[in-house]
Amino acid sequence: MSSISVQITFRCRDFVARRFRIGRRRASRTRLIAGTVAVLAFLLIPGHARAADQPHLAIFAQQINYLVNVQLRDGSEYVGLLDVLDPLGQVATHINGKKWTLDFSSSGNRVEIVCQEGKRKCSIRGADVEMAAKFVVSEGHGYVPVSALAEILPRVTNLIANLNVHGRRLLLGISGVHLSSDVLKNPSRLVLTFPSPVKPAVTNEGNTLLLTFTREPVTTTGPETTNFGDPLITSGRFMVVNGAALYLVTATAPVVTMFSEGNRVITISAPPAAVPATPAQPPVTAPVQAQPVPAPTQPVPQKPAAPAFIVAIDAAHGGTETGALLSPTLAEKDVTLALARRIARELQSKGISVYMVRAGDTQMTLDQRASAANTAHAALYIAIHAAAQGHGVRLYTAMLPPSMAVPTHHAFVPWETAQSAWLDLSATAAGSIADECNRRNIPVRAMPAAVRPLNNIEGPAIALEVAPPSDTLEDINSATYQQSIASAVAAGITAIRPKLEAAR
Amino acid sequence: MISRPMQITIALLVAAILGMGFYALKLKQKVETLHATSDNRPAAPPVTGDLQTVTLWVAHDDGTLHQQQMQLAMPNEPAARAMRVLQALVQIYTGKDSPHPLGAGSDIEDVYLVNGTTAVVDLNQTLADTHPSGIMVEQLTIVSLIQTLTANVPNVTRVKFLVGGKERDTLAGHEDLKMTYDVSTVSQVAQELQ
Repeated sequence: MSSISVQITFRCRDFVARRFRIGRRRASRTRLIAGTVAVLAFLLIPGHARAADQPHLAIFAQQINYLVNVQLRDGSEYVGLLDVLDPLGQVATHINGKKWTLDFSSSGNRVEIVCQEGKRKCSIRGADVEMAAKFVVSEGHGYVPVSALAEILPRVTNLIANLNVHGRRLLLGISGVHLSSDVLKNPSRLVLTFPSPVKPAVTNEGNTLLLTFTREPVTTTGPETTNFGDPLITSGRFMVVNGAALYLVTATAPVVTMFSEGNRVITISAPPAAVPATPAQPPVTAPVQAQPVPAPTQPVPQKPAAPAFIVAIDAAHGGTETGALLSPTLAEKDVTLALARRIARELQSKGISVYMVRAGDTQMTLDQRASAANTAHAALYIAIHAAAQGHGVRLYTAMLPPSMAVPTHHAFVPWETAQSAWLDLSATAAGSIADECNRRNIPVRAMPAAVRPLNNIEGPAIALEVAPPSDTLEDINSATYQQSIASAVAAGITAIRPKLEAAR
Repeated sequence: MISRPMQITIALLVAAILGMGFYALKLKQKVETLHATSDNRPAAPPVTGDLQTVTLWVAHDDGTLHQQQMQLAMPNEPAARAMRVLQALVQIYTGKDSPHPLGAGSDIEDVYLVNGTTAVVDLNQTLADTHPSGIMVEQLTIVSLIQTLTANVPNVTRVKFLVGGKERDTLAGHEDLKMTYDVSTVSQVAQELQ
């Protein structure tokens, strides 16, 4: 599915004729049919489904959740050690012949990992770790089998790692969100309880219902499949697939979900029957004493709890799409990733959770980036760019006509103008970061720009373009300069956090 | 033992071969330079029309836009007027001492007007392929083209860009070319860039 690419090309006249209806229809029938099929395929496959085809490992840590691309080599699944460890602390790598070394430091804890290309062992803190397959070096990056992370990460981070190799999910230093299920009678309903709010995607198909948890590390201690023996709810099945927790409910009739208790309880039951028309009440001739109202037996839908405050950071470009070539040896994609990681660490140090849209050197489409940020329900989305022209920092908001609509996450909005209702809050966020840049004497400008995927983000969204601090282009990669910008961004976001939270 | 006259002859021959090789290399480089700089496009037909003072919005790479007056022979037909001013603007960008350098050979392929209010500007492939990459530098090009077009062809409210007759995601990796630009929104951005 990932190889599906929709290429619809129009010669200029065809384009004008079709888009603006000036009556020129010269496209051949074959092209028309092929185009229609391609568009239908594109529309029928949602963005997140296309993105989901890419195998990845989902890592859930205390303050950060991120995805790492998984590569298949010689029948084993591999991940890049740099991609796994970089969001967790400071990382530096060195290569000397076949010897590959990674220095990891976090909160004063410094660890060296030494691996040999082609060997099944790596040395951590002087002790060997056996791996199921050989260590691989490709383009300077070191790759280990996914299964080896269960041994490597606890030694490096001193945290307990709970790895589901087949489900491609790793819980690091956390126990997960425990799911417990219970079937109640009269009427039949399945009640799923969680210790903290959850927000799964719900998919109904016939008599089955699928809950997909991508943001919460949902776990269960019960059997994978539970047969309830209920006339309506037949069974429930828990599984972890490609980093996401899935709960499949099989019923004998269509069922619906209701969220309650601040999204901590999900009740699955038959749809409520249509309410019969209330007969007209006879005129009241005498005062009637108020009777206590019995508690409703059906769970009452409540307003969903506000999702966690997460900032989505998107390092622009990646993979073969390098972005601007800032110098013969410096690609925009590398500068953006380095700065994104610094900003993430600054935010985490202020207690703000971060979602890295691109955590490694991976290629993503603009639609995939927007889908990822929207699915994460980020309180703020920041796209990071870098350019050779000018100096300092430039902050951009979407170039869209303002909308009169009230910002809300609970309505369908057009993809191309999803940002319209959020322009004011996006500009406020950009202004707050600009103030902090000014305080640190970083030259800064803020203005609208037509940069995707800002238009497609349903929430406050800005793009940050960093330029060199001086006429020396290489200074754009200076640790001091980038740290100063990261600090300004984190301070700016912290300053407007109450406004961002109020809008959720 | 090789005789002295033979040695001299061989030395002269070697020197001649090296000299001719060097000369041939120089000639090859000269031809390649000529190819790179010469414009093989057919000559544009002479523009007929009155000489008029037009306003161009010229981008500068310090992140600013400046209005510049110019005398041009302007046709009466709106699409042809739009084409004329946009080509004049791109000529400034590709010329010597350009304030916003674009690649040699950059040009406007065509301009269409739909219902008199929507302009479709077809940039040539060279302009997009050689354009410097970055949000600011790409935005300066697009905003200056739109502002120049609307300053000289009134009633245009929306502008759509194509490259070589086809839709393209971005100009050079950043500026969105999928969207149709709203002229009033672009105008507000242009004020901030002045």
